[in-house]
Amino acid sequence: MMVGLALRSMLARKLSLILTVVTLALSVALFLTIERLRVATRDSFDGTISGVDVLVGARGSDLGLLLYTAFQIGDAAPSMRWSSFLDVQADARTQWAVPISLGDSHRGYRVIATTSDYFDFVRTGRDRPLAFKAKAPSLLSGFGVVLGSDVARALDYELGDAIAIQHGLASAGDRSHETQPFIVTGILAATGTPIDYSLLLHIRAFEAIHEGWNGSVPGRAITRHDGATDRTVIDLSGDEFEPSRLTAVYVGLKSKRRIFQFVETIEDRRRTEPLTAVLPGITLSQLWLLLGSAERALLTFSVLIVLAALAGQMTLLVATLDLRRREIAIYRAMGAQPLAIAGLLVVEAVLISLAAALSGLVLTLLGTWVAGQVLGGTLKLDLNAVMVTIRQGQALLAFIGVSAVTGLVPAFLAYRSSLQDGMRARY
Amino acid sequence: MPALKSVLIRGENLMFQRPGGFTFSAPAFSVSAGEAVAVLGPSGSGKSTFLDLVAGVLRPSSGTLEAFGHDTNKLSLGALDQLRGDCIGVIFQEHNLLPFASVFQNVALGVQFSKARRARLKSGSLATEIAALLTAMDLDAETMMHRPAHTLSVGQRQRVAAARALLGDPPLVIADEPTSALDEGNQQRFMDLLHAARRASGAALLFVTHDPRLVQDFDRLIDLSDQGARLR
Repeated sequence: MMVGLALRSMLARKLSLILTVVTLALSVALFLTIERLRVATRDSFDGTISGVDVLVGARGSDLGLLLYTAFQIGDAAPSMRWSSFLDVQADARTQWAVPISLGDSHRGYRVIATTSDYFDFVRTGRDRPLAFKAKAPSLLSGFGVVLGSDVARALDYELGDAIAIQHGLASAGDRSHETQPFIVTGILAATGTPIDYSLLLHIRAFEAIHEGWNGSVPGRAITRHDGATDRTVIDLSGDEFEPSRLTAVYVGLKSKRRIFQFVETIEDRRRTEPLTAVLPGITLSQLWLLLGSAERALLTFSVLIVLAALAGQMTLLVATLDLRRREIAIYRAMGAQPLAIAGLLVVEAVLISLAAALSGLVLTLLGTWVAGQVLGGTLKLDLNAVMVTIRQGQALLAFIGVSAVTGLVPAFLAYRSSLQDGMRARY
Repeated sequence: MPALKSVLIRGENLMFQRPGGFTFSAPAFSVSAGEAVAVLGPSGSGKSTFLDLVAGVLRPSSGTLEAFGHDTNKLSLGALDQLRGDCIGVIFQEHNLLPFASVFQNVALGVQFSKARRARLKSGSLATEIAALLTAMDLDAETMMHRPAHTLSVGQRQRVAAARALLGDPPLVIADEPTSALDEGNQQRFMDLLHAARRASGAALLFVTHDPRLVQDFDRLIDLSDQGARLR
């Protein structure tokens, strides 16, 4: 019955309590959202190329190469020779090598030029192979293009649709590849990684649409395939479509024990072409180290907001004590011990924080779901991959615990005033 | 439960001092089982302090207070609270009820903090017992039971408070000027109902008032007019 009475007592002060719960819930939601963004960012980065042992590119910054190639962030990495790719592919320690060429886009979404091996060897998340929502019998043959799940959803594309890619990241005005459309031959299932916001096409088709170009300057118009009725069966196996340069190579090794030896070999290729070999896991760890202090600052800031809100809760409970002295006097007259009354205040603080924690959690889930729908393509993150992480659960429990502790202040004051007031409230 | 006519409360040389100079001295007194004792005194004479001492909410600065067979000086604060919950029903001057709770919940509070009082419920059913007490206090139990307390008139509230004080048959009921907010007709009606109900339960009554007209139906009178509290 006491819990029922405590709830009724709280309902009698509902306006101030609702405002307190809302303030606390907003601070909890802010904290959870920051944590959710942190987890989503890490998951997205860590899971993008989980099956790749080594990333090879032209000599330069490890982090720059990884960020540009795998996550499509930052400045374009310098290109490497095709012959170097063939060398890497031919290395006895190499199990598979997938070429990656970047640079073009379609309506703001990046194009990854590669080979069909990409779908066989690249893994996402915890070693999860790429899955398809829909696919034609042949994926990257001819001018076929496979769409990431969010590209297909956002642009409402289906199998068989014809799309033109643009040179560089020009989103609209560029029409240089318009005469050579690609046909959608596959749509990938969601991965929660930047692949969802990418288009994948064959590196030979990529070469074909740039045939005759001088660097980034369009050359003569390529018209030989313009009249083809089915562009996915166009034969691009000829030598003229072999690329001369590419951005990077994803490499899988036969034995993981030879990774460092392999990296050493790659980095020692001074006589032919200087290259960089990146171990994605290690480079990402360096990235998290770099970002760690910013993460901590953000987290500290959000914890301070939660603490400020808890201080607000304490102020409210203290402020309402005067209004509740009669209530407390009645409990005392009925034989309630001061400690029981103090407990009542603590229970009330816990109930408030419980309501705030649940509301904050719902707000966060709702907010990140809406953000995922509205900003999905911009954020390139899967904010809704996990409902609640262990760390978030622990944080919520800690929040309720701290709230109980802040409830001790009004509880102590109630204890003291109940001893002074006795069986009647004195004003 | 103490035997009939046994002494429930006995005080000797009781004195209470508050920081700041307030001092109250009580005459020697006792309250026996089933007895109705009125405590009379003008405002400021220390009537409320006297009740707090009897109820064990305040500890005397000096003197002896025996309550229900215990020397209260030797009891911890928690034990005093327990003794109060088990043995004393309380009716305040006003603001007796929790406004946000129903009549049923308010009356049930009488046994909320005491296992002993819960064990003394005659019928074993809280609802039946509360209904009987509300009826004894001339209230329509059926319609009244689940009404929010804040919808009651002042007279109804005081009768509900009396029902709560009598729930679980405490050996002693103390009342702190419960009629002060009632008109003359309602004062007498309340007193009649209270006397009848407490006689039926066998409870002693320690009734504080400043109104000499209300003390005629009591067995004994403790007059605080001369002893009194004073600021030194």
